[in-house]
Amino acid sequence: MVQLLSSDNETFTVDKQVAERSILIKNMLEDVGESDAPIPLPNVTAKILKKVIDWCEHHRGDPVSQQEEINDRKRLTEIDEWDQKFMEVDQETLFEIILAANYLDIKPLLDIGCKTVANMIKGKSPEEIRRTFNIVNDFTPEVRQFGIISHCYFLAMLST
Amino acid sequence: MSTVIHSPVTELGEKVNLTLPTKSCARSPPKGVFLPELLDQIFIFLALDNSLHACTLVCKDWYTCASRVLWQKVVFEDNQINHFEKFEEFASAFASWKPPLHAIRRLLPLCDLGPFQKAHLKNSSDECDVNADVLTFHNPTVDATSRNIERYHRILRHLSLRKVKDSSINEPLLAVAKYAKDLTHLDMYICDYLVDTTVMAFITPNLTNISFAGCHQITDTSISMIAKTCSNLIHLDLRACGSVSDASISQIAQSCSRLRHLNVGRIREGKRITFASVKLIAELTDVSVLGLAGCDLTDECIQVLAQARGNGLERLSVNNCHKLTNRSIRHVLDHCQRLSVFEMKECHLIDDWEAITELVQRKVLMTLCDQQNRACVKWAKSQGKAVKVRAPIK
Repeated sequence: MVQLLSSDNETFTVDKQVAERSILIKNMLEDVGESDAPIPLPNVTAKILKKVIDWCEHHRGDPVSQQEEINDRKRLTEIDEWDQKFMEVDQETLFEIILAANYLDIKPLLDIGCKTVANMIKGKSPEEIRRTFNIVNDFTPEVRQFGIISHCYFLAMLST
Repeated sequence: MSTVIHSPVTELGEKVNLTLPTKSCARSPPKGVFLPELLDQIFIFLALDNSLHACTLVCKDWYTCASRVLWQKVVFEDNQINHFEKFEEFASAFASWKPPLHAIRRLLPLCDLGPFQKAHLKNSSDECDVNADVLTFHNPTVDATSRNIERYHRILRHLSLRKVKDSSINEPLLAVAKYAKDLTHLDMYICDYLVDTTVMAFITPNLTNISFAGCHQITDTSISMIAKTCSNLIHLDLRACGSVSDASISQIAQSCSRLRHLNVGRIREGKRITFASVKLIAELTDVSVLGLAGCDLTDECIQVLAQARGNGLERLSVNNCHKLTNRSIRHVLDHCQRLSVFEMKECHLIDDWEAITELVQRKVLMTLCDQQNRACVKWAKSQGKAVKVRAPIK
């Protein structure tokens, strides 16, 4: 068993195998060796750490995939059912999970999070995207013009 | 004509926004929504799905990230409508290539775009104007684009052009080559008219992955130049490049020690690839995936290959190598414990079904032709065994 300490000082006890889904923790354990001291994770709150541990528990048996190629278009934005449910959280939490996955170096969780966001963007106009994420349009009028032109170019060149 | 440019502006809500700033929402954007490293990851999924364009127009940070991702890998596939015309358009934007007059006429239908732009142009009174405007190369706004294009010259890493049957493929490619100096991946697939001089313009030491599969005009001349220049080469796919011979493949072996993937499989001109170059590839490179279908191989080739590469060999194709005998398969069986794919269609001198059964039991995916399959099953039955030969998924 391994102890993990969240940024708000909550301790979680998890199986070593579960904790090692995080490459960061795995490397830490290898460096430190056997120790009962909790591993501090100053970038992750208890709320998010709980979610991440849930995910790792569910995926504990998954084969640790080697450098998967993302050539297969079908697999691209496909997310399995359990993960989809898992990601049904408010936007704030979703991004915090992604940031935590990035920090803890859990590539498959990071991918699922990014795919979830990608799916939220897909098919939307720029203004709809801004509204979705509360982003302010900070383009100067001049750049807006350029943007529109390159937009047309991108469409012309790269759309199917 | 100018209405055209402006109509998408209105449609995208930009003008409305100028007068009605979005103050309505009190909540702030989620943390991380501007972080380049996260955006990159998200945008890579969208790019592969062809839905990244709208992201370029969201805000400055998104524009920087999305356009970087968008221009890193540029692919023109034959499942796109007018994919070669789109490539010509890309060449004129990226390299100021000026298409000849007849090509401009051909480019016109290009702007009959997918549902996305249609939706944004639905209020435009005359869509034909749009077409003309986007294609006017003297348009000052387009010139502004070309000034910004320098930034993209250094971003482009991966260029892919697939199944182009036009004889005019070489001119726009030569123009692009002049600026695409940071390419790592060059992928030309079944482009009938692609010639050596064009691909030679692309060759820089940065290239690691090169494919000219099915471009049958490619010869030893350009492959020799790749050998001299690209010492970091990892992947070289020369399927159906019948003119390529031992001469240049030996040079590749001598100077590209990191090579992991080589395919020189062919239907014609099998005699040009022999023991001479296969031996060097086996002894001097890291090759783990090797396609030798239709080459002039002997058992000696396979022996040297199996001994030199041993457990380093993961996939091997010797389809249609008619001289190979049971000696070959025993060498593979004895030395290549980590083999995962073995293709040996039409190698009719091989009938050591016991060895093949053993490979199958090691979970090697085998490709056999019908005749071989029947013979193998028959042998297994006579031995009271069940053999299920599974072919690799293409």
